[in-house]
Amino acid sequence: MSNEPSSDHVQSLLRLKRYERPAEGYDTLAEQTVAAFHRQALHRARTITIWQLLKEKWQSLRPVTAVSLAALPVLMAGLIAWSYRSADRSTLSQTQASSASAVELISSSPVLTPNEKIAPAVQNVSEQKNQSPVKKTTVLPPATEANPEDSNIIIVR
Amino acid sequence: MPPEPTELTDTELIQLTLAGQTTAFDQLIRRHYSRLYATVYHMTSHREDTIDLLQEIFARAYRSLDRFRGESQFYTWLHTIGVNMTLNFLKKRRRRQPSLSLDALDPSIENDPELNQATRTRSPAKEADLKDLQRKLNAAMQSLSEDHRMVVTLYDIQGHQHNEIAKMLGVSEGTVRSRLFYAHRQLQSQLDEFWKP
Repeated sequence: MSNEPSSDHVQSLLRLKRYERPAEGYDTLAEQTVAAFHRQALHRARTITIWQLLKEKWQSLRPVTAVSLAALPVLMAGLIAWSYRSADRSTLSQTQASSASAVELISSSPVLTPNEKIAPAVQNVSEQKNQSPVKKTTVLPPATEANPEDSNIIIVR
Repeated sequence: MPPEPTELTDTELIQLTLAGQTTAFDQLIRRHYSRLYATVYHMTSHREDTIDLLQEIFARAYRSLDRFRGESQFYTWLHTIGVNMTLNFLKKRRRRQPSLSLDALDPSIENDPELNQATRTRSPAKEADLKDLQRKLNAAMQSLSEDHRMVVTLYDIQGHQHNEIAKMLGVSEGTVRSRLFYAHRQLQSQLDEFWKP
């Protein structure tokens, strides 16, 4: 008969492990596990609650953020336009000031009606315009023999 | 008068748990603790690791309870979670030297005829021998790979059927049988001193 253990021997030997019992006893350990389960469940519930709160907070903020992000180009364009407009406005205010002076000038200037007489100075001008152009010539005395070149010649020294 | 939780079936307790009664899950823990403890302990051979793992396993089972379809027994489903978590734990633990912490032996071991038959050639100092045998047996178990140790634990110690083990481990029955054969061969070579006169 061989002393080599067979597979059956091994299986019989492994029965020993069925008799191993935890020192504390299964009941005590089971109760410890129940308590641990409740601790973990409570911790998980708390974690979930905090996470849920954060999630809800994020969801409440998200539309605003999303709108903000979507509107960013528009906002930037608006900002740029506003800056241009404000720059224009300062230029415009100067222009308006000069315009105002122009308006003042215009308003202070006499307004002519068709039947009104034209001012004399203006009238003279118009009269002059109506006259035929007159050439103003200086007639020099006729040239003499002593000074033959005098006639009609201006000598610049 | 409502029935006591101990009188309810697993399925009823699961339904109550899913309805929000966590105390129903307490009963499931108490009901399945000892068998699951044995499986995990025989894999780890470490009491504290086993207790920690069991807490994690039951917590995971609670979180996944709504995915239990009832296609298998709750016990099998729970064991599948336990087996996978234990294997993952052992892969992580492999880096550090596993230390054996032996559970006390049940005194009724003296009345087990098969074990007495297997160890009858031993010396008269039976108690000391049993402790020695327990230590050697655990060391031999630890020398097996996790996959081989698991099939030995589930088949030889826990008494599961091949098809149940295959389902728990997600492998074929042929693989389970093959692993068992190899594991037994390895254990034989390590424990042969217990058959020498």
